[in-house]
Amino acid sequence: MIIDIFTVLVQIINFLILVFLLKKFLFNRILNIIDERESQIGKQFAEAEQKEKDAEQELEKQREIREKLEREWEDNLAKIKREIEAKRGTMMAEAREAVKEVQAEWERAILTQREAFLKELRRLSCQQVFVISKKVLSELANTRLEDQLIDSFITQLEELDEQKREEFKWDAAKGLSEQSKNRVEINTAFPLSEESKDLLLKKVKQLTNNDIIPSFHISPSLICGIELRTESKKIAWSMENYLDTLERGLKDIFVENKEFSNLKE
Amino acid sequence: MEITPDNIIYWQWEGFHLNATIISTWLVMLVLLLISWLATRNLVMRPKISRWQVSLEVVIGFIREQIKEITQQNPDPFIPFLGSLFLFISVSNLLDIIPGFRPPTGSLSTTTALAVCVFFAIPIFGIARAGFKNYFKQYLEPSVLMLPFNIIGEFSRTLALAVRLFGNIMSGSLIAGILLIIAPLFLPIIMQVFGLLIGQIQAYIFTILATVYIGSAAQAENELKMKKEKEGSENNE
Repeated sequence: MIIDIFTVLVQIINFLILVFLLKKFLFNRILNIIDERESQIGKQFAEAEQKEKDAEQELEKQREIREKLEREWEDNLAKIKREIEAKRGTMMAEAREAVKEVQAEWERAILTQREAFLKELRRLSCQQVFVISKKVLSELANTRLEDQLIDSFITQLEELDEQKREEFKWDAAKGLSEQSKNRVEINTAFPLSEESKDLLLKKVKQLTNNDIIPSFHISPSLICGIELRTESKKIAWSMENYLDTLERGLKDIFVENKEFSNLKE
Repeated sequence: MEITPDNIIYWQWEGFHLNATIISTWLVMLVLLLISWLATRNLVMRPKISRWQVSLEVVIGFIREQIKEITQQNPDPFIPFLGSLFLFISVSNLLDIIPGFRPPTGSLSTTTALAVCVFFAIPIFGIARAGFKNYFKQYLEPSVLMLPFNIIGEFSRTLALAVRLFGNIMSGSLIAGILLIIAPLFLPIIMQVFGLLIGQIQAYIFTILATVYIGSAAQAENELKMKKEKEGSENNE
């Protein structure tokens, strides 16, 4: 008989014992460790996935922050550009205004200088005209210019119209009653001789019909002229008329030059 | 030359005796337990795992995957039984290479004992999974008339299991012995190598078949569930 019943029974028992021992010492331990490892790996994967999700969320958050910052930066840049543009406009306007002011100042200075020049020119011209006229009259006509001027002034006094004469008379009388007799003044550009003074006193008395004694003063600014004045009235003769003509001519020249320079700009 | 190691008796007392089959079985058991103890005394999760542990993890992982593929169920309840079966047969056949060692699987008594264990394991696992009634209902499927054939099937496949393993291993050892007499050089070595390969294949076949039988018995529960689900869905429609 190939099959031995006793051996079969013993082998069955042996095998069952082996199953029990291997289960206890091998399979349970190995399976537990495999399961634990799988569980741990699964946990680690889950953690890694969670971390990846967190990282993605963080990345998204950072991206949003960056986009927000970029938008803010662009807004600020645009705002600054607008402000700069506005400031530039303001500054340009201020600069133009300043240029205009400087230009006006310059024009005023030019005007002042022109006025001063004309005044000086007038004074020098009068002096020269006076000197030349005096010399010409002295040498050719044997006549003093001052005398001629006084004659011309006396003629002017005599030829005064009635209204002006009355106004002057009234003004001279008013001054006389208020303060002193010397309220009437005779100003000349040159010193007067006694004869000339007497002549002038006589003519003033005739004009005012009053006992007025005018005071005599030398005033170089009159330039070759003579004037009789009270508080508010004045009768004068000088080279003013000639000089006015000369001044107008020079002013015209100045104006022409200015227009020419403007055209050139 | 003895066909079966059962006939090699070392000690005898009245009805009890210790033959080569029992002794070699104890040796195989000792080797397996020694390896298990060596491998599992310092089990670690990581980082450095011992070679013993890796080897056993690979073997047990392979067994687990195979059982899972075949049964389509949680393999853990089956592993101790089927794993022990595979390891026992495999190591027995592997030790055949040691001169003078007679593998216990070359004894029809051993293979019969293993087949009897499988024979009883099938209803135990089946009842544990599907319940007493559902399990025995399988023998009446598809008709009551099939009951005798089903019972014969159960016995015949158990017998086939035992004889297949015995025949293969016994013939391997026997051929090696005969060739050793005829041509003592080289040829027996080649035959030994073939014997090792055949031994491992037989271990695999025996375990796979046992798995298929146990798995199909345990499958009754799933079939019942599927049937109920089908009926439920038809009622809903």
